[in-house]
Amino acid sequence: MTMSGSDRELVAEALRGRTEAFAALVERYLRPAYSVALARTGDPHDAEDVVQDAFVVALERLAECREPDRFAGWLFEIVRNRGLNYVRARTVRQTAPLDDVTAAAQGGPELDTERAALRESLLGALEELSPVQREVILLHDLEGWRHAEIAERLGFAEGTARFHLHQARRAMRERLAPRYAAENRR
Amino acid sequence: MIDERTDLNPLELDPERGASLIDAILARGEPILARYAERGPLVIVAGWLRPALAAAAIVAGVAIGALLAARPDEAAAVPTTAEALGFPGPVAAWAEAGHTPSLEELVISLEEAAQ
Repeated sequence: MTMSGSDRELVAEALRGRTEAFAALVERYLRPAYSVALARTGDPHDAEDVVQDAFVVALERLAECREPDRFAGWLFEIVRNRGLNYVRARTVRQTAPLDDVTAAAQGGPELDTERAALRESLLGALEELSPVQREVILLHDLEGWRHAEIAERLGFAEGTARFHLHQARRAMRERLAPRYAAENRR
Repeated sequence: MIDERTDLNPLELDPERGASLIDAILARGEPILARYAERGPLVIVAGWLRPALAAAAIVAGVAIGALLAARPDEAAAVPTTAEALGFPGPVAAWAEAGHTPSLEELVISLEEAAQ
């Protein structure tokens, strides 16, 4: 069972060795951290490894988290750094292997193939964006974070978050337009 | 300004993989949490200690540098607290040394002051 509470409380409890507190932090920020990792690595499997490593590193250095209320921003910084290291050395794998559960995704093999193709297109389009634009669009359009949350946790003004999102969406549309046009012709 | 958003759901972390990821993170975190539970508040103190020690080292470095740079005769010219308060020489010396004078020493010092 996981705990509820503010980030500050959960960080304090995790520092006392409470598994439930750390589990709550992991559950709260796993998906956003994955988005940040995906924005940096551009590869879903690498993003999973990066997130796993980043949470473990964050736990090891938890006492150094000066502002526990801003745990997410601090964690994302670790995710970015790990992501960068992964991109530099993609062959290095030190994480515990996960069970291969993707194959068991719902919808059968046909839907899987279609979804995988769409995913590849989206990843290709994301590559055209800057890392910050990728983070903003993934956190906003995938995770459902508001501009204020993004601004606070990524450390810039709300207007900057809006600008990045606007630019990112436009670039994605432009990049994906040929694909959607071809689909509509079918 | 209307932004048409692209459906990014295919990029979503698969829930089952997410659950496996959480299990893997918690398994790797377990020994670290066990260490924290053993050490208790010392973990927090250790986290503060490192930057605090670094700051103290910088302050000490600056202070030592300033002391070395100061000329010795200038340092010698600085009066003691007792001297600054205008106590007579022997009284100032006793105050600085934390020495309680005997009756004989008091008489001698008074006689010297009178001369």
